[in-house]
Amino acid sequence: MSTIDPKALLSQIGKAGLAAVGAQWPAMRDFASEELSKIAETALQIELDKKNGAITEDEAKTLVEMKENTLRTVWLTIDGMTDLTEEAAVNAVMGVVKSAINTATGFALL
Amino acid sequence: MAGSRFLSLPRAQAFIACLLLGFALIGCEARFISDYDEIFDKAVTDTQKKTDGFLLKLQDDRARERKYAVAKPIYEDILNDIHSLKVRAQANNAQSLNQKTIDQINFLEANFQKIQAQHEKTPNGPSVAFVRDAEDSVDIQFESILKLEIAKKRGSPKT
Repeated sequence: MSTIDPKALLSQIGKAGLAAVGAQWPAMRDFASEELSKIAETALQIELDKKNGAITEDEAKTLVEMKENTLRTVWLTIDGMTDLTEEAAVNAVMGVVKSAINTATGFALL
Repeated sequence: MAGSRFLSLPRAQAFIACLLLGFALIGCEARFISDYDEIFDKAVTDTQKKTDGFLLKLQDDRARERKYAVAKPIYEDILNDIHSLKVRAQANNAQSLNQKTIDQINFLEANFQKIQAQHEKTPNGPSVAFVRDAEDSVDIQFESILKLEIAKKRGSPKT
């Protein structure tokens, strides 16, 4: 039976965790950047429409209330993608540990 | 002062031993959010198409749907579809792992109800600019809901 090298295992765990986070990060960053920009643009449009008289005061108020709900919806997606990133990192680390145990014991213990 | 280092070798071994014990006890993959639901994904896409089609008609000055009396059954139909989305999301909410999606549907429903309430106040139709701006908001919501659902595929091929 081989033994586990703690230092090597810690290093592998760190690499696996960072790789998992790195793989998820670009999609999350792009989504947040695109959607938050869209919200900013549409908020500007409401202001322009109000100034031009294209919408009433009451309509502007409703649109601002809607914008808050929209922002919360976007934020929940970012939050969910963060959950997925954390999940991927934990599972990557668990994979390294399981592999180390199985190698050390000489059979598929986990 | 090797003895004061955060992870001296004996400590590192103890830390890893604890980790191993924890993983051995768990013995399964971590899940922080629900699994992808293809039926929900398709239903969201269908509801988005129906909603967009309706909101586009409302931006046409000559459309019959600008009369609230004509549009009312369409609002009810779309709100019924949104309610079905919520029921589907709740059915996939074991251990509250789908709560974020349920909350998203609640915010979508709230926004659609606001459009309806605004239309009801102006029986001959809200301003075209209002409908356009409202559609932008709802579109971002649909896109966000779909984005999260597709992300739940967890690296499997996207469709």
